[in-house]
Amino acid sequence: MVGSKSRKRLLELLVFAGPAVLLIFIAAELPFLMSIYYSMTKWNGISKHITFTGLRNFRELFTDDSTFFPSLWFTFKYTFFNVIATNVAAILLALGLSKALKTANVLRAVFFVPNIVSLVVIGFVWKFIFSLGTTSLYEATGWGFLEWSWLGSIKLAFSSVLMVSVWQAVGFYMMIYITGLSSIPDDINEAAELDGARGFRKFFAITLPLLMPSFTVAMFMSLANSLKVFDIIYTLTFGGPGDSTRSLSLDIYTEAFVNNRYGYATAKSIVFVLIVLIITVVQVKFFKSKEVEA
Amino acid sequence: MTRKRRNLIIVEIVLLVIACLFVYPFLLVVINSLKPYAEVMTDVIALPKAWEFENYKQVWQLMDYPKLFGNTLFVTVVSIAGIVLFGSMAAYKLVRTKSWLSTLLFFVCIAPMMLPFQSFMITLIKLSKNLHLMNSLPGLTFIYWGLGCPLAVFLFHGFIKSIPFELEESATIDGCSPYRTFFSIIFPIMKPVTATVVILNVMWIWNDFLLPLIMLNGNQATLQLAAYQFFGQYKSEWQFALAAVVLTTLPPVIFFLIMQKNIMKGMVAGAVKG
Amino acid sequence: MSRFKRFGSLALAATLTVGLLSACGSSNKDEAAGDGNKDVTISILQYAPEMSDALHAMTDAYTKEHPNVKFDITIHQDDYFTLLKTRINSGDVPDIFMTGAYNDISTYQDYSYDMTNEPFMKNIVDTAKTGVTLDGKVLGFPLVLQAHSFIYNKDLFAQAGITELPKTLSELDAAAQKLKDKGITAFANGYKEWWVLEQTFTQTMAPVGGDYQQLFADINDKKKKVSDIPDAMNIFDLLDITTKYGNAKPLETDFNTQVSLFAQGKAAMMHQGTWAEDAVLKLNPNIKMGFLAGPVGTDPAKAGLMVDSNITYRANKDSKNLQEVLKFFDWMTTSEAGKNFIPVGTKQISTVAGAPFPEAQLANETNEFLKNGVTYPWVKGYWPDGYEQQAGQILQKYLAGALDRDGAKAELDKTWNKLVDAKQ
Repeated sequence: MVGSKSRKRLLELLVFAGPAVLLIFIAAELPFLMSIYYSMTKWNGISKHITFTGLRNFRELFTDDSTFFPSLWFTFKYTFFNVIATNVAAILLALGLSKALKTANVLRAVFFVPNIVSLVVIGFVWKFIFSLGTTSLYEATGWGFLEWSWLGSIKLAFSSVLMVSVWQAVGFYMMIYITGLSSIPDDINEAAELDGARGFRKFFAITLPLLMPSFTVAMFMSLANSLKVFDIIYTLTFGGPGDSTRSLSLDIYTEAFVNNRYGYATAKSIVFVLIVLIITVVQVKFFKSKEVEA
Repeated sequence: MTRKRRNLIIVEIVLLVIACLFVYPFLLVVINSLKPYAEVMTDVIALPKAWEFENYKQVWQLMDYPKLFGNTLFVTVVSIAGIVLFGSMAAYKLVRTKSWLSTLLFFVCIAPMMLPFQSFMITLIKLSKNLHLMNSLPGLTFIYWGLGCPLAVFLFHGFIKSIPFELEESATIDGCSPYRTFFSIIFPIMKPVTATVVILNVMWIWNDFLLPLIMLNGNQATLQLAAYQFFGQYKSEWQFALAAVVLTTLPPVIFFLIMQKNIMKGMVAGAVKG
Repeated sequence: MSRFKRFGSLALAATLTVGLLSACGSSNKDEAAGDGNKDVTISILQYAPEMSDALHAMTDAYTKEHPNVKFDITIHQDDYFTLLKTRINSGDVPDIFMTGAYNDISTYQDYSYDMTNEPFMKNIVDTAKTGVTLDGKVLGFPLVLQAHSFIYNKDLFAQAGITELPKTLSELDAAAQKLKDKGITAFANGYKEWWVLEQTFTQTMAPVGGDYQQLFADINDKKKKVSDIPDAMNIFDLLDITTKYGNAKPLETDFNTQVSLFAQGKAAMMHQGTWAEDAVLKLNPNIKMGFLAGPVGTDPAKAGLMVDSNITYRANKDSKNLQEVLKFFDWMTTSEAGKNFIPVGTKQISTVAGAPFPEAQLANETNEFLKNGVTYPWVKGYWPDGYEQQAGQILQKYLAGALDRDGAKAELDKTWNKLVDAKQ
């Protein structure tokens, strides 16, 4: 009896989860496993001749690569600031918009709209604004900051990329937090206010802990997206000026499709995946442990 | 109470100002999409001298808009239907089954969220060729199912954990099969998260560029691919590019504005439940 | 078709074959009527969207003459090579695909048909063949002769009283100063585009002269370094002059902005090529412009124009439509419509002998240089894969102040070696 019951449960599990697992495996994991082979080859991605080189690519990566570690550093720096800036801005907007504002609905839509536009287009639009828009605006207003070289100087390019990223993504995370805020029962809020908790104290003592589930999701997603950042940089700066805004995924792309070193690029991407994996697992563990049941 | 009202008004004004800054880039795009090339290049912030839709007419024809709109819509809708169905089913059972196998499968499901697409792009193409998925819209859709499921599973998984188990228990006692339990009890409850999954995937699939580019062998079969034609390197046609941006972006924006109420409703439902 | 070989004069051959082909055309029609010719669709994958209209006009003309042949044309720009590589890897190689010359000829050799003995190769000028030849085999059909250097605005130069065109770096500096005195920005620098920097760089590298093949082989063998080429290292002086007298925010200025600054008369010079003419004229149809022999150092005799054919069609050697593709290439070099494609359709210089000359200012200037001036090949063709972009980005870093000259030189050398080692 127990045997057939557990077999039935197994069957159910497979019927429910099987299709998704299979689809995911075919579309992402199998190709990735296949590409592990190429990480041990010297291959330009075009030629019919593929030379097996063992672990040489990995040795080169750790001992003699002038772009991997700068790109890694950029990616970390970008991720750090982007995750913080996006989430802080999103929480602030969510707090504001969960109040009884007359224009709340319109505002929510406005903040969300940059999210609906493709990143390729976003990059294009901002390039347009940085190259032509700011000049016109400067001529019209005379405000000095508009004349700065937002994408052309190494210091500012980082901030520009960051600014555009936050502008683009904040609406989505705002929605996650609004969902979280609206699931906090009113009686808890009222009770807190009766107890005299207001403003910052109420936020840190009551709201934030109850927001932890939203926070976990938002952190996980913003972290994974920041570490993998590609499109926005690809269209906005292509890693420039020089390689000052080259993220790891762009470095991998350049190696594969510009330098024609597909085998080597795959080796890089495998190291990259390991790094991302470790970071996300640590982060999820950390936040899961802090979640409070509402 | 009056102090509270005053605070509210201040918050509202601040947010409105930020909102204006937020939409200004789009405003510039719309304004400039209505100008001829020379005007775009000479003065970006000025309003067009004459309101003409010449750029739009041209882009509409050059892009073969109605046909590509249909293609893009097909890919988006079918992909999302599959992602929602497969993703929610998998997530549900993975939450409700406590075993090493379900933990493993869950990991298999969400692991691709960490894989950068560029790292398996070429092998994916090789594989798609062998499976005869290349150069066809259904083939592209199939790959979207696989690539879209990880995030869907992740989001549904998180939500289902918060659904009390008692609901299903009573259903099972009433003699419902696990499949009926899922479709008639669990699935409707998941409306808010389903809405989120749908929105996220509309944003992604409608706007995706690289995958259709390589899967469809460069054929101009989706709106994004066609629009990208106007962004060339030696070709300077900002006015067309901007009109193309507006035309490709408008449908998902409209969709979102319509859906927004649903999300709100879903969220209210979620709040009541909480 | 082997009859072509008997004719000595290319021009003669060209005129005669027009007659031959049209005869062919009519016989084709007959055959089609008698279902002798099966329908084929030739797929073309290419970049250079500026050719789009002209290409469609040409292929339509071909289909009119050969109703059984249709074309499936895909034009892509920024992601072109990514797309080409994925198509090659999926086994779906287009019948005709576009690549650069030189290094690209070698990179894609596994898929290219050897056209050495094809009759239409005789109709192509010899200067265009260097770049498409690998180990004595012609692996590409060179399409267009392009030139790049500093383009100058003749009226603005006259306004500033520059009568003698600058040919050395100090003369360039002096001319820029004269422009500045008149309140004119001398240079529109589009340094957001790595390729603008890379093209400027090749221009200082080419005048080293001698046997390029040998020189770059020595660099590949690490007997020499890029930074050992003295002329090439003048790039830093040249860049400094252009930024000293240049537009604001050069690293943010892309091709479009650069062109618009120049076209609107907001700057007197820009480093660009023949492909920019169309965009300039769109903004200012009355502008008068010309090419400067690019100053590269102290020797005025070394200043020259970079002329080469770096856009080529490759025939997929495994294509089932190969014979039709070769017929089409032949037609491109012999028929009126085929010969007009580049010069009339795209207003650039054709590589086909006897093709008409384009009515374009920069093309005319190029022609002058070819007759009476100094011209150089685009030496970047000898560079390893990826060096074009990397060199451009290293120079961006120099301009952004992240690298000094020595640092930039060291990176130029190091990157070269790395990419050579990676070569297959």
